[in-house]
Amino acid sequence: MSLSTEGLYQRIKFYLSLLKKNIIYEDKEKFIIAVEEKVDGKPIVVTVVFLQPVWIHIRAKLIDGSEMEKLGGSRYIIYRELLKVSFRSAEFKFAMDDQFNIYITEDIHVAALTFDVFEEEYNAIPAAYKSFYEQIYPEMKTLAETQKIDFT
Amino acid sequence: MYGVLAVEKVSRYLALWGKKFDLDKERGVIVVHEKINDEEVDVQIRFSKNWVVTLVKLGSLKELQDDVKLKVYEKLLLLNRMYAEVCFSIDEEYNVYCEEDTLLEALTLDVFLEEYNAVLIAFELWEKEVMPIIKAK
Repeated sequence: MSLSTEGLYQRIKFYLSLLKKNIIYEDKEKFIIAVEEKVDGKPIVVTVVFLQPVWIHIRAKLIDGSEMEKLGGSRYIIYRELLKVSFRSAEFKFAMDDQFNIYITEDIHVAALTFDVFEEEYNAIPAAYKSFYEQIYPEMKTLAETQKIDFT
Repeated sequence: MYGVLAVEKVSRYLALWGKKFDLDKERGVIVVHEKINDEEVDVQIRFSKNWVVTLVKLGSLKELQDDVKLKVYEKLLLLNRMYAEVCFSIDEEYNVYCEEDTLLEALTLDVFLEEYNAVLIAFELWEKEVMPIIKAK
């Protein structure tokens, strides 16, 4: 099986078509494929990119950094819970960028890229999203209410 | 419950690679003895029904004040974003780990080596990027 960038791109698109996913954006040159998912009726965007040289990276933004910043110093409680969930659940990895945006991410080594592995890793994204909004987000809301912060 | 075949497969990979390790057959846990920058580090490899989990314990945050914990957590989450192969996490006792999870169906020598090396990279990141935050408290 080809491991060229073109081959990987086509293979991922093929897997997404088998899974009947709704691709809403793609950039073949930059190797970006964005898919719309629905979690409990709420639309989320799952993005698949290729991180050279060997990682297929799948991610979805869980919460905007501006919301995290509103929590001030007490946001450490949320970070702690994210890192704890990562420890408890083999398939969940949470990450943050320098704008404080929080993501759920999955990475697949290209040597491990088969349909079954892709499906398992991809499905972890909406599962983590659901888990985040069921287990961690209520704690964020409570923190915000305690501090009288306007929170979406 | 763990897959005996997976344990045998990983033991063979480690032996081929020339690693020093102990296998606890009863618990299905392999401990690899590494030396990184003159420091003895044990890498644990655990097995479950679907996963091979490679992890290294990096340290404890239990005694740190909340403001230092905040900085450490932020750094760990940032590193999780910056390095595709690295996944930091913490347990209920505030111990920090780097953990790599490999689906059994993806377990090949090449994938295993990449995931295993990631925990060694994470150890170096911990020393270089996180320990200075803790020491500066």
